[in-house]
Amino acid sequence: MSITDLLFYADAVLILGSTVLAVSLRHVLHAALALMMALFSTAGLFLLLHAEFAALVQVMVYIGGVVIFIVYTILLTAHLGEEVPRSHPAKQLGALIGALLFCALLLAVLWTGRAWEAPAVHAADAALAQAGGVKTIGRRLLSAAPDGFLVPFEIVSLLLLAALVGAISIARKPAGDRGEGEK
Amino acid sequence: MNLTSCLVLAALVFACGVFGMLRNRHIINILISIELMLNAVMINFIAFAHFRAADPTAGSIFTIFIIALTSAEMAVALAVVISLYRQRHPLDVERMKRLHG
Repeated sequence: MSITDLLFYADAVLILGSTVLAVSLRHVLHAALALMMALFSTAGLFLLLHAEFAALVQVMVYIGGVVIFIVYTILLTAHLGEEVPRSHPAKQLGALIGALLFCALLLAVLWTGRAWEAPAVHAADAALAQAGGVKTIGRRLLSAAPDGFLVPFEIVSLLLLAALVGAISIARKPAGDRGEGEK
Repeated sequence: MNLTSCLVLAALVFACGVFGMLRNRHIINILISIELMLNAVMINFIAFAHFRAADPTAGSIFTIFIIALTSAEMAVALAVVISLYRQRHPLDVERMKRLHG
């Protein structure tokens, strides 16, 4: 077993453990912290798979942006002492059965499909080592060539702008109750 | 470490996300479960890009697009949460009668 395998299995255990914690912890803030842990160990997995830029974006945007935003929202909206009750036990059982069935379905597709085991086009090792780097990704993202991603890039920037404006207009305090909702 | 082990890991993470989404009632818990499911999808993209792609860069780029889309989604969703809280609505999805349409 090579050192890469060892790191992969350690990382997989971390990812799975923190994922289970994130869905099972009762306190929302604890769940958000477990989510942060899961995303962080996923960034480690990306590093193992030679996707350095994706790992960096994961840490900076996902953990530094989205999860911190979730934590802020929890802190802004927490009624101290008021907890949302758990679902009915029968519903929880149903959720467990549904998730297990889903997992079984995915694994069955994995074991029977195996379409990717056909000899696939495999990138050369040198190309693979460069593929996740900042330079390659930057060139591909902004090139207008047929294999470039310029148009999706611009569409995503429009979408982000729209989401930003929408979020501000939804979360804005309605005119007239200035200072009333503050604690 | 091979492709199958990565895919199994992603499948398990995704199933955990499905379980959390069906089980929890707090709206932020459900959003967290959605994040976990997207995380599993990103693991799949990166794994396929690393093990079975003529063009491994595209895998990273798709992952970055997913992250951008997720941040847009979370911005809107959390704005809705803050708006609900401001109007004194419960953050329990089974009691959000006003959103039934």
